[in-house]
Amino acid sequence: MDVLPEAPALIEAPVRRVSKLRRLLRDPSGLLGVVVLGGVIFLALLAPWISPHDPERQNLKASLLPPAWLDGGDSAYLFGTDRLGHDVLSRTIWSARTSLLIGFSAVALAVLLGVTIGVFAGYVGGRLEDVVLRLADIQLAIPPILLAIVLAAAIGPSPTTIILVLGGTGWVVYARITRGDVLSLRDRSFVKAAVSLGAGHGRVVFRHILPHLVSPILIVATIEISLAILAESSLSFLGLGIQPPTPSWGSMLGDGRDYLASAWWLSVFPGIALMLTVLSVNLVGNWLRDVYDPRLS
Amino acid sequence: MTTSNTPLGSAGEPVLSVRGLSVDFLVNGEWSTVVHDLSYEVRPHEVLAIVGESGSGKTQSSMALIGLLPPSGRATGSVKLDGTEILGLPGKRMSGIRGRQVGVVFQEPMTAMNPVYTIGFQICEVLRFHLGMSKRQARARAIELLRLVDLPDPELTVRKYPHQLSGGQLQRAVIAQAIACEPRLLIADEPTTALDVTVQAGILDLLRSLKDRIASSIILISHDLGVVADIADRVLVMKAGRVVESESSEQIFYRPAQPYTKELIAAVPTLTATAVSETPPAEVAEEAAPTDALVSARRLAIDYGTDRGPRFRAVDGVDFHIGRGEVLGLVGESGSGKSTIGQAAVGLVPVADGSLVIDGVELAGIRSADLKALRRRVSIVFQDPGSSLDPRMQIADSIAEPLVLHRLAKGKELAKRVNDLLDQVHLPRTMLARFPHELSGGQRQRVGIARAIALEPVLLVADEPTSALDVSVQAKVLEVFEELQRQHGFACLFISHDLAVVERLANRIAVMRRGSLVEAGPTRHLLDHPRHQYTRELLAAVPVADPHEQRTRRETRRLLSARGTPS
Repeated sequence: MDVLPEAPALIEAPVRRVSKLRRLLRDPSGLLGVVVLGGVIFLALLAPWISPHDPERQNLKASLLPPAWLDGGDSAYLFGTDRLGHDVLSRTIWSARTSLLIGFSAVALAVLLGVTIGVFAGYVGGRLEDVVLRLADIQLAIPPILLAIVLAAAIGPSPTTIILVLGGTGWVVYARITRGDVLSLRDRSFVKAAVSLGAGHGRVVFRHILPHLVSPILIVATIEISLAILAESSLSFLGLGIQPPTPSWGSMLGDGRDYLASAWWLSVFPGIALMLTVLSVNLVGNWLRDVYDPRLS
Repeated sequence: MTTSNTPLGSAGEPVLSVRGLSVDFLVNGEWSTVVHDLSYEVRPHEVLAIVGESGSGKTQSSMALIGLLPPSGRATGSVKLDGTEILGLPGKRMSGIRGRQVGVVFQEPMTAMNPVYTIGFQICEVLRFHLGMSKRQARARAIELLRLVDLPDPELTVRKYPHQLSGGQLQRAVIAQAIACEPRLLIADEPTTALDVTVQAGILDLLRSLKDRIASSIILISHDLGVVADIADRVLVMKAGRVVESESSEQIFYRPAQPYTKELIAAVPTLTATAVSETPPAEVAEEAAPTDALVSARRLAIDYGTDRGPRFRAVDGVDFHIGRGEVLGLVGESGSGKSTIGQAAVGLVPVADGSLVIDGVELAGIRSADLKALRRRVSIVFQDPGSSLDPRMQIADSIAEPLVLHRLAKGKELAKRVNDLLDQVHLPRTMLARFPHELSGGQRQRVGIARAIALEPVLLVADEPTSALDVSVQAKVLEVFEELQRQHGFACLFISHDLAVVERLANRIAVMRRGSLVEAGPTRHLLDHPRHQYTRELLAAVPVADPHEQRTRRETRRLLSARGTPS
């Protein structure tokens, strides 16, 4: 892609550009997001090695123990245990895997579908565009949770089902944004300039149109990643998502609901983990958008 | 209210007196001053022109008078309107002055009027707010005002929405709104910049007559010295937030004291045409296209519009030709179809009917492979350099793009070619790694030109390449252009609304109006002996930076328009 990698080396550095790392250090909220999200991803990757217990191993003798620092707590179970004696800390760590996998994959699938469809609709136009827009309307008329319930019943609840449902219903917003931006970009003179120089459709789309879509798509995608993680949690909470004994923040919250008064630690720790993840994804999204905009460098 | 014609610069107390006005903006937590210690007076019936290039502070200093600075700006000093201090008045009292005692006319009439209300409603709103008129009174007055600004059928116009008027008509409506309460002072910020020359002439006539009819003084903010010469009594020249020179119009134009003023006047492209000779010589028609012409159009027709909206015929039955190495100036007003022809020449819009042959290739019904091959030899420079460069691409990549696209160079060779091109348009190589927003308008347009000549085209289409630039910048860009044209010898279709620019560059001129070619001929000949009435009107309407000359031209124009316009 880089047309002139060596050109800047031939000349003296003209404008002082602040490195991305410097700018990250100067942006406290972006830094916070990167640190927290990095931590969550780190924990998720290292879950098998750092979690103190097997998250799926029951220990009925140690049922509903409070966190270690409270009366009756066991130092082996830092965040306490649930009804079946599962270690809450281990389950919270393992859940990060499920949630991040589902959140990122579902949004990646939606972005891929939506941007592709949107580019075709906006760039080609005509009958194709009409069809796509009507499809989007139809899609919007079907509540995704309802679709998820139907699909979960039909092909069985699993992480793949959730990803397919959330990804397959989420494309509409990306397609709409993409189509709109492509329509306006297509008429900008720099796109016309590229065409007049002999650029083909592929180059116009990939070099001159798609880069401009990164910011708007990124803004929506970070919000949608949070929503996808939350949607997975709701589905699991309803019993349609991740099936026990596999842990997920949503199913942990669902299990903990009955014990809110007596064993708050069942819901509070996965809840905090969920909140921190969603928050940090949003912060990172904002930061990435700024980093990607040459006008802000 | 007096309507006597007071002689220049006399007549007692100034309407507006500005003392030590400074304007600062908060940038990254620090106050930076954009207008330094500005002092001037405006006397009754006087037109004061504030002249300067973009960034000189001419607009900000005038907006500061009536508290219209953006939130990050502040103004200090003293501004007295009829002896009363108005600078820094609280919001409510300032609202009572804006529109009542000071009227403002903005540059772009389309954005100055709210598109969801009728013209009448928006004028009545002012009248009812400031003068407490009843609905009926306000309506009657609105119609009167529309008549005052010479709008046809005021009773009908009052019920129209902004989009139903043309740009010139709308600007008249905006002026009607601005003078609704008979303000003491009218601030006109580039009131004719967005308009065609013939329309501009009419608006200037209107402003000139209004200052007497409603006894108002005018501050005219403009970058166009021709406009200033046409109407101003006194001129204030600004540069980088400071006053360079402030003198009577005569003094500024005939005996400028400051070098910057001289430079500014020298940079204005002047039309040397004796223009409006009364008897057009009965010349033979435009010579037939030579057989070896690089570009030849025969009964060319082009439709405009997208596949989503209705199409209309923007160009119809146009014949022209351009020889090798020849520069054809294509002039006309907005909507005349001149840009459409330029876009068709590079294959951006298809030829609907007739024939357009460039370098032996027929563009009507051309196959995309042939078009790509043709684009290797034909290129275009767009009007707005800000939007014709991809904002996410560094300058080096933009200039390199045509070479990369046609696989003409890569690696070291590519870098060398890009550096060469940059040298040719006189830009320092330090620009290579910059992004378009880090360049000035003139620099960006040079990049646009460098990119266009990268492929050594046989034909260059230049679509109003300097109309978005300041005069001094325009002069330099035109110089670069002339130099390149001499060196490379490409033929050029130079599209412009500015006859003076075209006169300087073009070997031949073609005049367009409403999608058809009005007349064409060798530059000198066409300018000296225009045959068509429209060409003569166009020539007469071009403002020149010379008050005396401008006065005679006004007279000729009046004579011309009295004769009526056959189309």
